[in-house]
Amino acid sequence: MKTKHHHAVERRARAGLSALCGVAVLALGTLAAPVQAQDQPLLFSWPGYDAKELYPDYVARHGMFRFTAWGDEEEGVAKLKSGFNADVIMPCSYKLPKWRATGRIAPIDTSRLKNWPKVMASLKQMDGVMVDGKVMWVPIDWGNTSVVYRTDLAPEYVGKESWEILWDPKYKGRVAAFDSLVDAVVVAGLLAGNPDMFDYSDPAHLEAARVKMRELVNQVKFFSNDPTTLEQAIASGEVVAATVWNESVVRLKKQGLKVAYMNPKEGMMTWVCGLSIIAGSEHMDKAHELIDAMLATPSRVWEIENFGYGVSTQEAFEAVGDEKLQALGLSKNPEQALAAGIFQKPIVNEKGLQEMFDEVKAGL
Amino acid sequence: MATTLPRTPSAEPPAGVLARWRRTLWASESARGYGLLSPTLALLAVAMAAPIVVLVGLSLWTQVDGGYDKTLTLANYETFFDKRIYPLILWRSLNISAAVALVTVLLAYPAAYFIAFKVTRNKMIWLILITLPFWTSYLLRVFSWKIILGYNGVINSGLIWLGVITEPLDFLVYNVSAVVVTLAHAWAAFAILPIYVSLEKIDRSLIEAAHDLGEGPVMTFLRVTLPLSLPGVIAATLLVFIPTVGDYVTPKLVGGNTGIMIGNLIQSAFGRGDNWPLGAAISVVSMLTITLAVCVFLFGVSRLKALLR
Repeated sequence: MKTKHHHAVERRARAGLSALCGVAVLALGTLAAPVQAQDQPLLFSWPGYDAKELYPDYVARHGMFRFTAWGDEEEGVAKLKSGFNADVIMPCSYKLPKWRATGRIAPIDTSRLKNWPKVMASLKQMDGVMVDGKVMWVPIDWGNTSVVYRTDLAPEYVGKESWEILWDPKYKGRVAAFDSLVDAVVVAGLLAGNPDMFDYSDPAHLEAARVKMRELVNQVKFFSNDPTTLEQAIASGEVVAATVWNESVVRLKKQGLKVAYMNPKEGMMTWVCGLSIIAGSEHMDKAHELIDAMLATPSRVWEIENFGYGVSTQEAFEAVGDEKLQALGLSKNPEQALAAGIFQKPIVNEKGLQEMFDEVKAGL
Repeated sequence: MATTLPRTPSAEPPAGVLARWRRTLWASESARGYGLLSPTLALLAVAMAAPIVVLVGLSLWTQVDGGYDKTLTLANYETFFDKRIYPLILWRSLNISAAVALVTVLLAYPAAYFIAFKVTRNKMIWLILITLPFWTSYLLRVFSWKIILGYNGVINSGLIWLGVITEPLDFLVYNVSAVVVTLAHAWAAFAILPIYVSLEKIDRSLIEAAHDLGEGPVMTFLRVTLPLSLPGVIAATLLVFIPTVGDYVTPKLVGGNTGIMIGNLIQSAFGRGDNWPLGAAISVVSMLTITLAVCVFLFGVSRLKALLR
């Protein structure tokens, strides 16, 4: 009797188990199936560029696109290389060769961009816009990388603005910088007196930058690529100076803080960023519409007013008005603005510089 | 034709062998066990063994522009030991994780002890309360520590409000101790639960016996409770130590420059460093080192037990 009962229990248990296995397999199957149809293109871009005000025409017509932010472009390129599927990206001029080397940048059909004629001629002539007679990159905005500092906490730098504030022993532990080669580490090369701050093919130049970087690693509170983290540190007074882009300064000033954006005697850095389409995108039409929406005047005006960047269409500057532009310290002429600073270029021996940066961060 | 033939015994054997096979299979405990385990085993093979094989294979290749050089070489392992940064950071990570495991277990033990011995009603509610922080994302918990330890965070503004300090303390966050504190909190439940289970299992009459034989509470704890709960303590130590060595989110968010760990270097190699084979080699060496560290720890514990006996 006992054994019979035992067998019955076992049989029931076995049946239960196979049912459970079946459920598990079903569950796995459901997980593997796509969660929903992806009918929106994915924009892979800088943090903060998911603001829908930057794409009003697109959002009005199709709703919100999908968005993923990279920490910096080095990370972005690596992610794309390892198979990440984006439709539109926002690379900057100094990184274009590296993006193109992935072989995944597609030509853009400018006849589908009704705002293309508005793009300033001088920007259309930039390196990287045209490759083999085809448009590969649409310039969108330009701006600076420089130091924002608290004029109330470091008043001695007013009128004597310099990158050296990051190395000032007085502010040890009270400065912060980008966790990036092109936006931070190259400054060490500049201050080390290298002839070209973007070329590290000569080991002597790399060594000179390493010495400077070792000092900076001991100076900074932290390295971060997140504008919000940098802004909060400045706002709280945790740091008195930090490398930032123009948009952070606009936001900090809106909070009523006593901050100034340096025009260092060594020069501020300048850059131009734009949009490209990834080859094989399933959303070619919408990708073009997204780019077109970002060239439209309402979008460009919003970016000037809220990020404080220069933009690639003259029409937007006209719409904003001189007074506001002056308050933001913006010039309407990109050539003039870009020539006034140090134009960021592709880094030579980028790998060596990255290794050096990793090593000094580890205390070597 | 064939169907009309009477069944001869000679036609039977194949089916009979099969049936007998099936019977022996069902009879064999281990075969049945493996049969029942097969979904798990298959999952382990696909999700654990295969990736390790791929990782080791990848670590023997070399990165060239836009692809891999697939000739097998130990070059990446040489790089690991040639560049001081990798052994140094791995050593640092092991130390950080050892500190985390120690702190976590020391803090978890009283909590587990309390629930096992002092709580008599609604134990379930206490256990749920302990796992409560785990209902939010790991990232959020790390961020909340940034808020607690930050320059104008909870601790600093609290101390300023109390008048203990006038300027915020700036050594709270962005260093190794911030990483240890954050990880110790994040992994607390993984330490409390195994210790609780082993404390709960202790036969209360043993403790009574110790008291009856004249041992004080301290000696009872040291000679009865602690040794009997050792399996839980060891499990907790390993559960915290092993995963934290490779953590990279916490050091990235609260570690600043001095708090970076091996996980950050692996992430850098797979990310912006764009050298997957090197990243694979770092991972393999890390796994072997962690295994070695765990073996040393277990060996040490068994020696310690032998000495105490």
